[in-house]
Amino acid sequence: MTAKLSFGEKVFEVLNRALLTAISIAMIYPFWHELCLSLSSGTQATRGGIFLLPREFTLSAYRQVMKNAFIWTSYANSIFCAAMTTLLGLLFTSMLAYGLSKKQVAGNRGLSFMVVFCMIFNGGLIPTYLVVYNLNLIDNLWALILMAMVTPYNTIIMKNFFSGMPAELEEAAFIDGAGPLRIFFTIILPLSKAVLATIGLWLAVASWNNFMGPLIYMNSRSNFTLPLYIRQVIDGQLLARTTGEGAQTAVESLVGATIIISVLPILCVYPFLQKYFVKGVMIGSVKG
Amino acid sequence: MKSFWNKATCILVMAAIVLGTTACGGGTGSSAPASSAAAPAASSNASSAPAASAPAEDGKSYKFTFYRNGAWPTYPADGGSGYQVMKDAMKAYGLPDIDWEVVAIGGTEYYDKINVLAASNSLPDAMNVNMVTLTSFADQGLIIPLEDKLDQLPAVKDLMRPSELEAVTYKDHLYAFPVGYLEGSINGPNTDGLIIRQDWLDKVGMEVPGTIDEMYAVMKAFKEQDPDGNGQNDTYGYLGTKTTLFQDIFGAYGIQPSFWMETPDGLRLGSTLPATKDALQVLQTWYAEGLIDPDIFTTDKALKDQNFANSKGGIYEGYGFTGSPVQPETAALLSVTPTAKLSPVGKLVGPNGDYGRQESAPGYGNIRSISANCKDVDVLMQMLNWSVDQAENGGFYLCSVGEEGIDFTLEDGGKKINQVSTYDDIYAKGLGNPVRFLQVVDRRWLVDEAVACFEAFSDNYRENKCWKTTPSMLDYPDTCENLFKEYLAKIVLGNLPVDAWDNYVKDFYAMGGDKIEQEVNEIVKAG
Repeated sequence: MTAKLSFGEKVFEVLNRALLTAISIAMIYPFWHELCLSLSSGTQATRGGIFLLPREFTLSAYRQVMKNAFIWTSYANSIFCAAMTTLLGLLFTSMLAYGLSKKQVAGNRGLSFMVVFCMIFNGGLIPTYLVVYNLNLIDNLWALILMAMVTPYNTIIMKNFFSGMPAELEEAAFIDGAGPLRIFFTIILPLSKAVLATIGLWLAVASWNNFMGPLIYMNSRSNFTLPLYIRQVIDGQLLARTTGEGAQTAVESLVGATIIISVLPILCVYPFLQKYFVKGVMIGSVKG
Repeated sequence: MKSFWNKATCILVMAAIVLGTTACGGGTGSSAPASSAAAPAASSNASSAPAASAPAEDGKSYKFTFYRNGAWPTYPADGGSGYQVMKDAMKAYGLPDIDWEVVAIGGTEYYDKINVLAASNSLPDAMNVNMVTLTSFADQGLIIPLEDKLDQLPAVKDLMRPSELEAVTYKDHLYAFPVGYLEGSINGPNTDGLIIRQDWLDKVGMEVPGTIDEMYAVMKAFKEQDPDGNGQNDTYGYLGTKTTLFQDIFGAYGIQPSFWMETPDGLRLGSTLPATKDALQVLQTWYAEGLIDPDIFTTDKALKDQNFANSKGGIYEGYGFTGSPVQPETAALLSVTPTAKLSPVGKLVGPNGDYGRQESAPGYGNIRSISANCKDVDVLMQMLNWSVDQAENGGFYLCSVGEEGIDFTLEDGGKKINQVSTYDDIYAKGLGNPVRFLQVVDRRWLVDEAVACFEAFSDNYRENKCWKTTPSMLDYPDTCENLFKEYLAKIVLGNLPVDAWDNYVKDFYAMGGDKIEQEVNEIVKAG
């Protein structure tokens, strides 16, 4: 049964919906604009303006993008990096955070300090590069995966989540004969889906969007990830135009098609993890 | 319970080791180093380096790595089918067995990467540099002097302009190779110029302007006489972008704001000379009369092209390439207005007979240095010379427009290049620009309309008397780069009076301009 709304509440409701609709349109339109550009002819795309629908509909930009094998190589590399970063990141972050959440563990305070210290004081690009270089990980996708796996921020969020779990759960399991590994993997982790989904989403999105990492650490084109490839397409089109070599190429359409193809996977995953995303952050942020 | 916490401590320590070795990851990004526990795996051997082929007679193989500031998305990781074509040509040319790897990165991020490589002493054998990087690397001994190597490049040595060689000389040493230029007005370093709507001129009964007064009259007609015939007062005279420096207008008053110019007192930056004030007065008047795109200082290249395609303006800051009907912005214009015709605007002469746009920076933005890490410099020189040699089995065409008879044909006794393959297809074979180890500018592939533009622009450029970077320019980066642009926008828009230029000059000298000017004059005097 719904209570009858007062006049003021009705006005608020209308204004609220109008505002949210306007914000939604402002958020969605750039994506729609790129979609329309990607499906429009090159000359119409160059004309610009507001696109409500594609002009002179054509799939030629998509054909051109997909005929380049590099987009699939880049796709595979990005998926590999995102998947491994997420899986290994969740495993190692949760293990570290679980230990840190136990005050009885020897050296807990010191280790916690190290984690927070690392969050505040970053190693910097060149020292980091030297470490990766000396580990012989330059031009190796594992450089991207290992570096992004465990971050102090994610560890603290997860530690706060674990700290909020009742100790009785673990004590009961211990009395029943379960060891710490069994407790961790069969009791703690299944009860931590919200925070795992949240951190997992962060790791996956960060890995998917990572541009500077591949730029600095990857050399060969077979190791390029999607953001690097997209940047190559855009830079290539701009270069071709200024050197007169871009003739007959639908610059804006091509860029639009590349962007659409690259964001599709993350666009598909995001809505399904959104509910965990919000819940996980809330839990991690209010308990400590 | 004790054993429980012992095991838990083990888990914690294991995880802490991971964190410790990946230390200092400040966020969700990727700024931390990697664990040594993880050996190179999956893609470690997936490098683009092609397999070495049979060694030459001396039994030695060579491999060089080139870093290029450019983006060619279709260039294959393994060098493509063109790789072997090039190797065969090198062998027939008499070169030893050479392999190569090209790492191409577009945009300014390229310099982030090579600076990191420099810091870790892992610079590639050869690389694109800009003037700032060149001076920095030369000071650190990361790149080698090349003046003694020029004689090893007979195929290109005479095509390099002395002024450009001089510009990349630092502390008496040549630290980079500029590009070479084939003869002819279409092959010069300068490509920019004004393009005017000839069909609009025909409609208002005027000719291509040749003086600053004629330019004003034409723009006024474009503004007031509805040249697009849509019955609305919605056209402007001049289309540019937020980075515009109105080069033709300043040139008509005898200066270029960002160029060093000769005066009785030595070299001075153009923007500090009194003629700048005269040009600013003209521009402010034009803007106030609505002759210049009112949004010019917020317009980017894409928006300028849109305005051009949608016939919003009659005079367009473009390139010689814009004359070509298949250049994207021109094709878009022709799709909307099939009757549109374009003409180049040549010299725009001012009240004292001055003219001239900015000449291009040395090396066509494509200068190359050799790293101190390069072990076989002499072999690299042989390879570079091969890549620009037009003789039989030379790599000139392979490294620019592909295979003769397949990707292009030479016509009119070699005066024209008729391209059969698109540039994307040439790059996909591993030929053309990505493997242009040294560049010789060759635009014989231009269509006639573009040739006409290049010819009109060819002698409309003004010389910069000093291209070098001085220490104070690095200490005060905004003084030469941005200060004038701020005043230019404010004065043209009418937010500041023209007299504000006097304040600009004061600010310039107060913000390190005096030191910069002194250093520039010292460098030039020292030769």
